[in-house]
Amino acid sequence: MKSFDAVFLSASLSACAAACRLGRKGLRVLLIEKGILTAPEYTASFQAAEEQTEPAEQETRSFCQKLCERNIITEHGLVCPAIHPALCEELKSAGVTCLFRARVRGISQKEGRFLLRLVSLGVHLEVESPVFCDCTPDCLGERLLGKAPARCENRRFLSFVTTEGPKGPVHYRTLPVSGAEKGWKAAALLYERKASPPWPSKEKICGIAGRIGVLPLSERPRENRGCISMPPAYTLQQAYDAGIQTARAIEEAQYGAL
Amino acid sequence: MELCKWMEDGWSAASAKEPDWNGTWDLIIVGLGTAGAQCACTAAGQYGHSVLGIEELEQLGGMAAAGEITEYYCGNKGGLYQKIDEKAAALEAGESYLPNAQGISGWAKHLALQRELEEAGVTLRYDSVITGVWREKNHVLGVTVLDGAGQEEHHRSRYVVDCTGDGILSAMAGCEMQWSRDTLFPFQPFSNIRTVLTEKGVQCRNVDSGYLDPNDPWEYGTQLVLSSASPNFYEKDYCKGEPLLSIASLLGVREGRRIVGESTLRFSDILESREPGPPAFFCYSNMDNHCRATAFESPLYQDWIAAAGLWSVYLKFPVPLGALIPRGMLGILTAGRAMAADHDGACALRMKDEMYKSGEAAACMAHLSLCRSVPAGQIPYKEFQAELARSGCLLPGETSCQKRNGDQGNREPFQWPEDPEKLERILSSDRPGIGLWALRGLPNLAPLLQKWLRSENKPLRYHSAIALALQGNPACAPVLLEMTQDLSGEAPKTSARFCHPYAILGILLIGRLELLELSEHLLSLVEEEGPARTAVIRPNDLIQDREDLRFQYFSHALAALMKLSQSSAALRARVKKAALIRLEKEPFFLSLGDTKLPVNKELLKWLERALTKQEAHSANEPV
Repeated sequence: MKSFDAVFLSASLSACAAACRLGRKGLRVLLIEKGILTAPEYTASFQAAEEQTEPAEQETRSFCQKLCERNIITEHGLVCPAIHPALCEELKSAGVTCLFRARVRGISQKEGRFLLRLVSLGVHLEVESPVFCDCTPDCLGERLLGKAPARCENRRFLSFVTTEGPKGPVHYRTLPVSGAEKGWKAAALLYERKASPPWPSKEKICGIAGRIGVLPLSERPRENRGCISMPPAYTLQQAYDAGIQTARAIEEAQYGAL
Repeated sequence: MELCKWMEDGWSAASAKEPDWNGTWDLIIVGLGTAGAQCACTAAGQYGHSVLGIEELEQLGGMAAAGEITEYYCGNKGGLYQKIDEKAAALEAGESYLPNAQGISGWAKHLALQRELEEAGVTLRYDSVITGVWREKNHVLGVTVLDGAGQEEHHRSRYVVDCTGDGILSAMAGCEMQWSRDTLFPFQPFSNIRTVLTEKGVQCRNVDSGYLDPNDPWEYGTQLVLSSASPNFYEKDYCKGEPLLSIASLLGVREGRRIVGESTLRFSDILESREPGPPAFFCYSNMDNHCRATAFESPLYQDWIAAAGLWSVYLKFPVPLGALIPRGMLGILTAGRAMAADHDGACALRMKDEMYKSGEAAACMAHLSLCRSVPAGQIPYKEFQAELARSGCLLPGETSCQKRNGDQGNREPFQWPEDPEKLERILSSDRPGIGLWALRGLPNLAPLLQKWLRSENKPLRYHSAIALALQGNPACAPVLLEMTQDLSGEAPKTSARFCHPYAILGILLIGRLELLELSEHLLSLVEEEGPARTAVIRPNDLIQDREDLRFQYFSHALAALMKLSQSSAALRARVKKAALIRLEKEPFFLSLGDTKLPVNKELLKWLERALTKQEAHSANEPV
């Protein structure tokens, strides 16, 4: 069984931000992601860049500046999927361990430590850590601990990319859908131009995300008997700020000043 | 009854009480990618079976959809998938979509498959993985499924089909598995795939990114982060006016763990036109594993891809029915990339057409097995053939053949030449590959080749030496030595890729013939940079710069010396010392796509393994 100082469930942007901060401080950190991409929400929730708020944290400002320098935040104020390689750079330099295509089968607590039973690529694994942070938008980690918040509704969406032509600007757009299982039907409507509301007629779809986006709960306890919940965030800056603030809280609670 | 799992330290089975089944099916198909979605469509749509399909992602179609590999490469056409492709193409033809410049978009393919599966009555479980396999002795009875909400269910079936690509279900069920080659990198390289917007429209960029064992979760995570962290991943395309649209939600893994089957597809059988059993379908591909470390490939693959340079020869060959049947098991079939093949065979058996065919064939095998109440290996073959002939998946009278690139860019069939005059013309040209391979099987022409060794015509002299080496004839030794000292950087141009300079071919073939008398020369190439510092570089896909050349000289000299030192412990000790010193002081890199992989650790591991094997072999030899 591998031991870590902190385990984050889901490689959302806030989880990556927190994991990298702790990793840079020398802690052994594990990120568990069911897909293969970090920040799987990137194609959608950051499209409303004009609504972005001023970052609260210096680390968030630095990260955003890096994204701008690399054209990851484009001239149209969009965040392109290249945020994935940019985050992987951060994870690599911070020495964060990542498990992709990994699912949690069960979580238990013993003597102040969390024991996670995982399956990844068909292999059963066990990891343990004194810190477990649930960053899933649907509180999967907390539910597996038997500590699910009372309110568990989520907003789900399908994200897609449009353009006015091969040389035209690229837009990242979202379409609300009722649930993950029916997401493909929304995609079919997009394909057949029957989606409502329709997107501007001169735009053509040139890509649809491979998975349904889930926006996090707006009400979520910060801490649930030892299990830390990543606060909900709806913009890039909010998400990165949330990760940094969560990491700081973990440092202070577990290790004092690092 | 046993519940079987794959743990970090390997397979485990525990006696367990039969679970309360949440569902009972004729077939459970695990992995609804290229092979699996087709298998499910066929089993339910063509044969009317009840089918449960389990998919890890929220998208069907595997590499053709989530993997963004939207075009076809090589492949033997024919099968039910072509009709689904037509429907997907029709969906994409609408005005609302910017067409994919390289084929059918992943989502069009997914939607067409989704409709097909729904019409066929397949029950779908997205966002779900298997965590255990239920079996009684060697008979697989069902699986445990974990869904996205963290809930587990148990499902029983008359057949389970492993379409995971990496043999996840087969390994979990306790089938015998094989892990490829015992050399530098055990598997073929993987790709990180992204979609960009170009002037032609949407296009995918399929970039070789590194090597990974797709069955080791920790390594998978490490390699994914390392390969994605390369700035090349986005800067090149994004900043040069090709906006990045998406990054594929599947890595392009070319090779992983495979089953040990009732029969096995072997490269040697392909080349000798041997049929290891009745065919399930035919495959059409060139032999390309994307790996530039040819020094560590099998001797047969080295002969084909390096010495003869036959990357551009395309082979059509049968895939035996038994390659889909895990040896000694009942109630389970394996389709897709994890079918039984050796490492060399696996580099050809991975194209989309064949993956679809394997899914259709597996469905038909399971159907006949269930209808006739016989194991899959005993189905009436004529009925199987007739079923697959209806869709074109396996045509009556289909046979093996080989093709090469013609002058017009088309691929044309050819025969291996035997006429000495024609062979002389071919060997005198800069494209000798076909002649070299033909001569490999014509030892009666050795005297002629020995005569040509004295020719003033360099290509004829060199190519005759290569041909003799391929025959195992050491008379070519002086010319091989001459080749190793050739600093011109020239290489035969039989194929567009994998053109090895004559100097490297000389080293490779000295090793092949185990010419112990040339060991001092090879040792000098391991000890110091030597000709790798001064030889002319003629950039091609194998050698683009000095670093690549240094790697090729060093790796080939080291691999050749290890062959030579099989019979000499003294030489073995000298090779070890020289290699360790060089690896200590000098970094080596292997080019792969846009990236350069540091390989000193891998070279060391390879050396240690090779030494251990040889020492064990020597210890067992009678004095």
